[in-house]
Amino acid sequence: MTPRLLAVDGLCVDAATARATARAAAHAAAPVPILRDVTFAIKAGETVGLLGASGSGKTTLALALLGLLPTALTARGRVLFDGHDLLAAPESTRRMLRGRRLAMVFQEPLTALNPRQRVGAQVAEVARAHGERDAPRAMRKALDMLDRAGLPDAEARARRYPHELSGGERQRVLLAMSLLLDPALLIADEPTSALDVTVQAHVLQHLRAQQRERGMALLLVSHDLGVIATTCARTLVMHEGRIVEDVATRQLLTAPEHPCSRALVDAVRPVARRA
Amino acid sequence: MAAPTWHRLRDDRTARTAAAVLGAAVLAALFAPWLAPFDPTLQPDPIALRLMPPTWQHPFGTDAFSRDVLSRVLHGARVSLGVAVGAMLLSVTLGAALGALAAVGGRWADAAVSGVVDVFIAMPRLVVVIALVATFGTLSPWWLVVLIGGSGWLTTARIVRAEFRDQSPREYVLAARALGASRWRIIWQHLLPAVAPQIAVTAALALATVIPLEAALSFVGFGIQPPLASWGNILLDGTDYLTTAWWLVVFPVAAVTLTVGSALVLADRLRAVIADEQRAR
Repeated sequence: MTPRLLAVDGLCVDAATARATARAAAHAAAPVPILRDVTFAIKAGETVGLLGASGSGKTTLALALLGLLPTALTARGRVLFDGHDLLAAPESTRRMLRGRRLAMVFQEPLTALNPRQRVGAQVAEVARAHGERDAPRAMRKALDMLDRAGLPDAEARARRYPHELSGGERQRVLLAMSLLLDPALLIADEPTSALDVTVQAHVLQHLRAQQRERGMALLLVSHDLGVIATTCARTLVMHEGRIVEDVATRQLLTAPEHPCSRALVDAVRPVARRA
Repeated sequence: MAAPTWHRLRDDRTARTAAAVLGAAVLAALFAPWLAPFDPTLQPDPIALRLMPPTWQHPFGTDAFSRDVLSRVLHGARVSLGVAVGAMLLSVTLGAALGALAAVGGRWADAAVSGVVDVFIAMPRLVVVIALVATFGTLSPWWLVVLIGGSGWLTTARIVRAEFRDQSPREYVLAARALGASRWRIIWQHLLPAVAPQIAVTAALALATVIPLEAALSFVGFGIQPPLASWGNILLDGTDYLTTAWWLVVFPVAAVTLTVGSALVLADRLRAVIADEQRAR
């Protein structure tokens, strides 16, 4: 049996104080989702989907795993990753793990890239943040990665700014950034939701190929059952800050147990039947 | 949208003209010893050549000691612009560093910096500087740089703090942290470049404030001391002859007005470019 790479045990996220809550709520238009006793594990090389409606706490969970919660939210419980207790570990340890062992891809590739920096430099920056002192070597690494990420004419595109690329190209840049240092676990938060459907398929294909090639574990966060069904072997269903179902994706599709899961599955069934 | 800020500024004709005037002033200051036709302290004939109106030999005329005013204005630029640029660099660097510290250094750093800013921003700068100079007696130009620069960082600090706080919660900063960027890398790679155009605006404005400030100090006798020429003390020498020798006043004032004016225009164009970009976003 493969060892567990990530073990989350009784993770709760609370709003710290009334004042802080008000501020956080003002920041994030939507009400702040709070996690309640979240427990699950991911083995090395496993593909896991995290399915749930908007506001169910998916992104909060992803940020909590990285230790990047907004200051108004505090996390309790245990998150074991690679032998480190992430919630108790010092920030320096967590920083070393982020990007190198544990990486994240954000939903909106335009806002997740620095508008003022050429995309090639942004990819190279990940290597430099982890101690690569030789700038040309970091850039070569970045170009190689952009090329492998399927960015056409990578060398020329690397000199562009984010707004000069298409949505799909930008998402490939983000993927190149997060895969640059060969992480053991990639958290992808709605990586394709901002893209149109054909581009979505390409990016997902690339993500799957990379995951298999590297034997990397993948936690794919999405509200889209279709995306998760084609990518992940196992699915966690999240509802109001709890994990309400943790089953093989196939079983979820045929026999969803929780009313929430049933609703999500039923929502795509008619489409599937027609096809 | 972004590093393009500089490209857009470069394409703005008004901004280019203003930059050219400023550049010319700086070059004139740098090369004053070669450009000036005479030694600025030379008094060739205090009787025959006293208070000569502009001629071909003395395009800006001569002063009460028969010194060549053009040479004095050129050499004065060295001192006046030198003090101004030095003070501007000092105040902008201090302001950026302290503003950044207030924004990312936690609650106490923020309270300390913001508190100092709030107190000192209420004080009139010229009066504070005059009081300090009067306490220490007459000062060398280096000390003037320290005093003027050290009293001018407040606005820059405020703006940098506000901009850092505006940028910090953005997703690209979060994304950079998610891939392991340290606090320092975030500041150097992401926050400072985002704030750089705004810092440049405050730098141009600082220059526009500091040139008249030095001139005013020298004019009231607390700044640059004779025989060293500065735009302020040339003007001071000239006011005695305001009704009889206009050239003693007009040329140093024109020098101050041109440089300050172009610094202000540059600041204004840059601000317009930034505003355009923010609207486009």
